[in-house]
Amino acid sequence: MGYVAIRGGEGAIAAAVQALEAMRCGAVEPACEPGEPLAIAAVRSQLRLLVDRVIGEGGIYDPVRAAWAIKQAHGDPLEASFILRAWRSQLPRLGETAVHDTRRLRILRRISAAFKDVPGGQVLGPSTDYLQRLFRVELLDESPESFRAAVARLPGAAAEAADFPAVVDALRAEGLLAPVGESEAAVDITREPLVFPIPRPARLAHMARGETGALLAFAYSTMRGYGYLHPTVAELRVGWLPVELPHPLSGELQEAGEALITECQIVATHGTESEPGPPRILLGYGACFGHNETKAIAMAMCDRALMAGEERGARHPAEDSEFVICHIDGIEAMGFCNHYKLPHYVTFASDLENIRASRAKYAEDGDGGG
Amino acid sequence: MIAIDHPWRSDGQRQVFRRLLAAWAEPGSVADIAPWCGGAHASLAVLACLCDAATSFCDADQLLSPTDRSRLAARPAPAGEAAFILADAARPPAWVPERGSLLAPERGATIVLRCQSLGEGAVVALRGPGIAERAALAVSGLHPAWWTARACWCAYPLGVDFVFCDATRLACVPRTTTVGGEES
Amino acid sequence: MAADDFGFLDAYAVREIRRALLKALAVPGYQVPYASREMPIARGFGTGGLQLSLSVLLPGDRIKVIDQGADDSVNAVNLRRFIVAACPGVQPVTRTAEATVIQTRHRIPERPLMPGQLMIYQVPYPDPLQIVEPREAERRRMHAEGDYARLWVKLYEDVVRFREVALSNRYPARVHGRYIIDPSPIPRWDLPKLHRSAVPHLFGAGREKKIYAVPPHTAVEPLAFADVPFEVERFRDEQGRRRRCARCQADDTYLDQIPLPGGGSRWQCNDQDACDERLGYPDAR
Repeated sequence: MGYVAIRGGEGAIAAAVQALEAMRCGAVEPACEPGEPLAIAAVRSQLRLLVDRVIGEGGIYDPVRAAWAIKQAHGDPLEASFILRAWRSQLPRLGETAVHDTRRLRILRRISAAFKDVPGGQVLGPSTDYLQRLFRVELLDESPESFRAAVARLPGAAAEAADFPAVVDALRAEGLLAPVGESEAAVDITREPLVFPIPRPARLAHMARGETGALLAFAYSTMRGYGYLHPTVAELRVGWLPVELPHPLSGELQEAGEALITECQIVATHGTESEPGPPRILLGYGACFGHNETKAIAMAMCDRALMAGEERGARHPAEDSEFVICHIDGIEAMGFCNHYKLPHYVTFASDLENIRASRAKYAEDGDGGG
Repeated sequence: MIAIDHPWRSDGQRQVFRRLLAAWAEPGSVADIAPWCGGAHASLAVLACLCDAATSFCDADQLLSPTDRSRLAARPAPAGEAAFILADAARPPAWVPERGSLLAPERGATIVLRCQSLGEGAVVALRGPGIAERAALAVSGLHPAWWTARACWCAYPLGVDFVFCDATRLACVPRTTTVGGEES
Repeated sequence: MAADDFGFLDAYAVREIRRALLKALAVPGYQVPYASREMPIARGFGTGGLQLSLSVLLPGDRIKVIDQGADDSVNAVNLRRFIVAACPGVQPVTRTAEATVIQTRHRIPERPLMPGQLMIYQVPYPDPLQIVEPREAERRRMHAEGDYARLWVKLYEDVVRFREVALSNRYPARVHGRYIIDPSPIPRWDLPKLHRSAVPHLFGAGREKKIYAVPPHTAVEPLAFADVPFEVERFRDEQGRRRRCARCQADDTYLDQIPLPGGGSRWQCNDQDACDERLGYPDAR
C-alpha cells in the first residue's frame, strides 16, 4: 500500500521506479511486442515534430538531448520538455546574441496567405496541409531501403539560400502598416522575476516557451468571438537561422551554427478604435524553436490580442496579459495539476472540521441544518 | 588554474550567508564570520555572498580596491540608485539612498557600514520584529548622523536595511527595527 | 560559472534567492518576486521550498522534510532524497528536536520550535488576496495600499452565510500590523504557532515565483471580528468531548481521521514525530 504511505515511502518509491522502468521497456500490455530499444538518433530524426515541440517548450535548442528526454519520458511531450528545461536551468548564461534578422533564414518553407504570390515566391516545403489524413498502409512494413531512398529525394529548395523580402515590408512601404517602432530590449525570462505588467519582449519570450496546446486554445478563443481579431497570415516561414555569437576575446560576431525556427507574422485589419488617424493594419508576431507552425501562428494571434488589450483594456481572456502569460506554461501547469495527487488529508481534515463547526453552530442556533 | 580563496569561494559564501540570515532575522545579534573572510574585511565577505552582475553597487567612500570591486562584478551605480551601498560608518552620509516604493519596497537599499568594532562603543536599544522584547547593539566608530538619517529614510514599509561590519563580525538593523536612542 | 557542486542551484540563482530572503525578512509578509528556476522536481510539488532549502543549507545541517505531518510519505521522501544527494554533508532526520532546518508542506510541527531552527514552507498560493482578486497587478496595488477591504467583506459574508469564516486552511493573517499573508495551506491549528515564534519562517512559492517571510518574535494575527473570534479545529466527538489520539492519547494535537472498514473512524496524531516522541520512540533501535 504505497500511496498514503505513513510508513514505507522509500519502498513504495522503489517499486514505482521498477514498474515505470518495466513500462518504458515495453511491458505495455501482455500481448504487446516491445520491439527494439529506441535509438536516440531515430527519435531525433523520425519524431522530429515531437522533438521540435520539446526544444520549444524546454527552452533550449538541443534536439539530440530533447530526443533523449522523449525516450526517457515514454514519449510524453510535457514530461520530456520538463526534463530538458530542468537540465537547462542549471546552465550558465554565457552571453547575449545581437538581434538576428530573420531575413537571413535559410528557407525550408515559406508561405503567405495574404497574397496569391509574393516577392521571392511561395515555397510549400514539407507540409501536411494539403494531404488527406488517411492511413498509409505501407508504413506497417517499411523496408530500410525505401526509407533511405526517400531521404535522398529531399527537394533542392531546402538547401537553397534565398533572399526573401518579408511580405510585411511591402505593406509597410505602402504606409498601411505602422512603421517599426523603437526596438525594446530583450528580457531574459529565466532571470527576471515575473512582475506585471510585463513588456512585449517578455510576453513574446514567455509565449515562445509556452505550451502549444495552451497557446492554441487562447488563439482559438480570439478566432471564435472572444476577441475582435480578423487575422490573416501575412507570412509563415520555417528555416534555419544562422546564429551569430560575439567571439569571447575579440567580440566580433561569428556564426556559431544554425537553428531551425518557425516564424509567423499575422496582420489584422483596421486597428484600434482609439488610435487617431486613418485605419491601419496591425501586426502580430510569433516565433519558436523548431518546426511548429500551429504554435507560431497561435502565438502571433495571441501577441496581437494582447497588444489590443494593452491599448484599450482587456475585454476578453486572450487580451489579458496576466491571464494568458500565467497559464500558457505547460511545465508549470502540468506540475501544479499533478500536485493534487499528493496527499491532502491535513487540509481536508481542516475543511471537515470547519464544516462541522459551522453545522454545530447552526444546530445550536436551532434555525438551520435541516 | 587560479586557486580561489575566501571570501570568493562559494562554500564560504554559504557559511557567511547563513550567519547573515540569522543575524538579519534577529536584529542586534552579532555573528562572527572570520573563518570565511580570508583575511579580508567582513564587509567584503558580506557583499561577495550577495552581489553579482544582476545587482547594482556603490562604494560610497571608496573603501574597496579596484580588484575587489571588479571581482564583485556588480554594476556600479550612484548611491541614490544602488541596491547595495558600502560606506564608512565614521563619516556621515552625504547622499540619500533608494528607499523602495509601495509597489516594490524590496528595492530599498542594503547599506553595509564598515565600523571600528561591534560590541563596544555607544549602545542603542532595539525593538521590533526578530527581537523578543528588547536588544542592545554597541557600535564603536559610528557617526551619530547615521541614526538620524535612518529615521528619515525609513517609513515602513519603505526604508533601508543596515548591516554593520567590523573586521570579522556583522550585525543587522533592518528597516522594521525601532532604534530607541543611546543607553548608558 | 557552472552549477555549484553543493546545493544544485547555480551561483546566480543562489545569490538572487539570498537577496530576496533578506528583503522578505526586512518587510515581513511582503511577497518578494524572484525568477524561480526550474527544478528536477515538478512545479506544485514543493519547488519553492526546495529552492529555499538548497540556498540556505550547509554541510552539517540536519534536515527534516515533512508532507502532511509525515516524514515518509512519498513526496517528502522524494524531496529529502534530492536534498541530501545535492547537499553532501547534510544529515536527514525525522525528529523535530534534532532538525536544524525543517521543510514542510501543510503543517508546523506540534513540538515548539527552538531558536536556531529554520522553518521552510512549500507554498502553492502565496497571495491571500487571490480568493477575492484574480489579477496579480491589482493585488499588488491592494497590498501596496494596505487595501484589504474586499478580503474583510468576503470574511463578513462568510460569517453571515455560514456563521463561520469559510476558510479552514490558508487562513489569512496580518504580519507586523501591515501585510496580510497566506500562511500556506497549514490548518488553522498551526496558525497561532507563527505568532511571536522563536524561529524565522521562510515561505517559497516556486511556480508563482514569490518569497516571503515571518521573522522570529513577530506579531501574526489571524483576521477575525470582535464578535466572531478566530477558532482552531475542535476535534470533538458526538458528546462534545475533545478527541484523543488512539496511539499516544494526546488530546492537544492535530488529528488525522482514518475511516475504518465497516464504519467508524480512528483518530490519531497527524504529526508522526510528535506522536512517536510522546510514546518514547517505540520503533527506535
